[in-house]
Amino acid sequence: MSDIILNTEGVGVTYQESIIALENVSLNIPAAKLTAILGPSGCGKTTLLKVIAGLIEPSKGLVKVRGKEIIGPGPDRALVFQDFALLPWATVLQNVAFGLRARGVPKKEREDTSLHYIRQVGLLGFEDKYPHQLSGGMRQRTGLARALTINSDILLMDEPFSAVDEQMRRKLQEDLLHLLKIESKTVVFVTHSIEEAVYLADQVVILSGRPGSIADIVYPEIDRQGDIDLIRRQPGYIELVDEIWSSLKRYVE
Amino acid sequence: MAVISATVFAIEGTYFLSNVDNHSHVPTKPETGSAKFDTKASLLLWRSFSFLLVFTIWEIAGRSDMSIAFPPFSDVGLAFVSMIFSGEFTAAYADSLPPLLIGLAITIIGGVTIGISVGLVRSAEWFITPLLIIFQTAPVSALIPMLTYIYGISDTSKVVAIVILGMPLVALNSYKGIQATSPSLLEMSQSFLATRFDTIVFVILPSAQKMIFAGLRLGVSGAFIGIVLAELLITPTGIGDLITYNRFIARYDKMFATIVSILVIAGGTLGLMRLFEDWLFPSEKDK
Amino acid sequence: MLNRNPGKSKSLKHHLWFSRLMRTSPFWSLVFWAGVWELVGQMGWMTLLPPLSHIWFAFTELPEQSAFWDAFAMTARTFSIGLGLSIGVGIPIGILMGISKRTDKILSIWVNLFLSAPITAVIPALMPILGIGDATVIATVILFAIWVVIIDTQAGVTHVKDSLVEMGRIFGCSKLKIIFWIVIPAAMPEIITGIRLSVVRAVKGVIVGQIVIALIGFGGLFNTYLSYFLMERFWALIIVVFVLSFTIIGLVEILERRIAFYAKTR
Repeated sequence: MSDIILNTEGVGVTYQESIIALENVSLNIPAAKLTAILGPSGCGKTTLLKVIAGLIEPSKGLVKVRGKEIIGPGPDRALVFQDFALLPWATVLQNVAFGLRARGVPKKEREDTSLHYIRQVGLLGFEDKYPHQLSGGMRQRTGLARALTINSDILLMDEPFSAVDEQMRRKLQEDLLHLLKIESKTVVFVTHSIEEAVYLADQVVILSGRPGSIADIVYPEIDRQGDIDLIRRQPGYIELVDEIWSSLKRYVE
Repeated sequence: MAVISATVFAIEGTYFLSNVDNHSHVPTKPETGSAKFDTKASLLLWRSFSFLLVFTIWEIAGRSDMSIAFPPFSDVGLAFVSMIFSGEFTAAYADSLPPLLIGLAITIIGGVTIGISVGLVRSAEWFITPLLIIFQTAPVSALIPMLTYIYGISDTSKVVAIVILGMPLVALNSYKGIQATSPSLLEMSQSFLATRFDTIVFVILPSAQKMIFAGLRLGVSGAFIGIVLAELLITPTGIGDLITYNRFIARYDKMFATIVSILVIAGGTLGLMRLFEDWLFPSEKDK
Repeated sequence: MLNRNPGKSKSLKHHLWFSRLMRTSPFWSLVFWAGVWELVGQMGWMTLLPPLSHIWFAFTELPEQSAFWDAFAMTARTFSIGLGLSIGVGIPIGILMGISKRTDKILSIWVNLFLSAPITAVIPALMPILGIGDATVIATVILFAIWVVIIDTQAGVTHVKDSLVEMGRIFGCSKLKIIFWIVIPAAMPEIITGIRLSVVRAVKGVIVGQIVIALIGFGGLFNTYLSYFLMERFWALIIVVFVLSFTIIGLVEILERRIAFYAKTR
């Protein structure tokens, strides 16, 4: 059992004193593993991720990284956005280097580092292109490369593959697994796709909505060390997806 | 008469304090867990505070020795009230109103007609659009002094001034409204074999309504500019002349009061039109 | 353009050249209108409208007159200073209003009021205070131009995608860095549009200001030509002013287009 690198204790988020987005969420995130946060639209999963990222201050409870309470965003948690959040007036290289630039890293160094990760996500040759010249999948790779440059231990991903088409999505999922084999990172991955959660995650936290709270936690016993192409063919894969679906069904409107 | 003008000003005034101007967007910043909500009452409070602030600054600036020609707010306020009850406003606005209304009527009817024709008939578009663009962008006010020479010192000059300043805006907006008809709606109409007439009446014109109304509002704002400019330059009657006269006799308090009255009436009318527009055509973006 | 009913094109077939002409850019119709002007002028139907050819002669004479160049210098000076101040002050105010709810609530009613109000009415009030010269015209330009800069800048700032700002916070940008590295570039398309609109208004402002004062700059010249009934020169000057304003606006539009490349992917 891995160490717990991040945990939330009784996190609650209330808007305008009446709308409860999250209620009493207590989670343990194991290090170097991928935890998926799964739930239907509006269940608060993105809110939870933003609380973990430090963008939203919870009305109740707290978030701890390595036992210390967080105070806002930090270099230990990088975020990959659903809409990519790229600067449209900047090239891929400039976008990837953004995090380093914000830290004051000198130009040569940050460009070298950025190129390394650009290569790693498979975008070499595109570093001088602008976002509007790229496909959705390439834009998200840029966002991913940017998140990798700051070398955080924790990678937070907010439905990162939902804005691309199905084929690209499968490719990006495979690439993510390949990447995680090389770079050991803790990933917290928000998604509304059961299949994606089972495919990628070591731990699936199922959130029910209104108010958002933990309905269940599932641990897919999927062997990802071998051939990634064969993951979906493993015994128990489909059954697990169905199992999660039947328990989720009642929470969908 | 004085009572009527007083009421009109009072209405326009309170309108200011409570209107919802749709240029004010709530800035987007990451929320904390408990975001405060803007109530209508708090908006009213801020608006009133804003007025108080400006009037106080005006009062202080006016009392300083900056210039004789800059009276403090209190003097202007008193002059304002006195002019309502002395009938000066009534007389001046009564003079300005007929040419304003006639000019507006021509602007609106002519402008919308031209705009729609230009939008629907290609040859009209070819001939007229460059003229509309020139009249909208270039400083057409340069032509207004010339109107005296043609029409003399008369209401006609005022009407023509209003029309040349207002009509291009109305026409251009109507034209753009027609142009902006969604191509998929047009295809839909074609696929159901609708006649050109039906398409115009049931698809194109309704879809252009919003922009046409916006154009009307711009036309009204142009009309106000036109009549003020005309009356400043040309004719010895009307509200513009009231400004010039009071400046001439160095009654700066009355001059400022007149200017404020124009700004209030123009601003209020345009604001009411915008409210009306928003009520008629609620956009999905409005929360 | 909207499609015509195919059955109705019979009459156009007779005038094939006409329909081909209609397919060209509408700006060619100005050639037509120039011709109309020349005709009307030659016919002498309106004494106030001399034929274009006569106006052309007056136009070539204009550069020889010092009065013209004095007026041009005055206009250029007051226009640049007024526009520069409108942009230089308007953009920061717009940014402030976009970022701070409080500033927005206090200022927005005034900005909206002056945006569409007849500022022309205020010019007579400026004259006794600022005198009959550069200062009043500059003030007029500012009063015409600044509001649209503020409003469009504010709109650009408030429309910046939340995720871009969040991204900045995630990567540790200070508030100032977020404003200068993310918010302002993201708002640039709207800011440039605001600048273009303010240029249009500034042109009108500088002319109206001079016309109301009637003694200086191009406004004064217009007045002089009218009073001496030098209509050829009057129209030549009108055309000069119109062409100048279109040139400046055209330059800003070019700038606008260069920035717009990223407007769609924000």
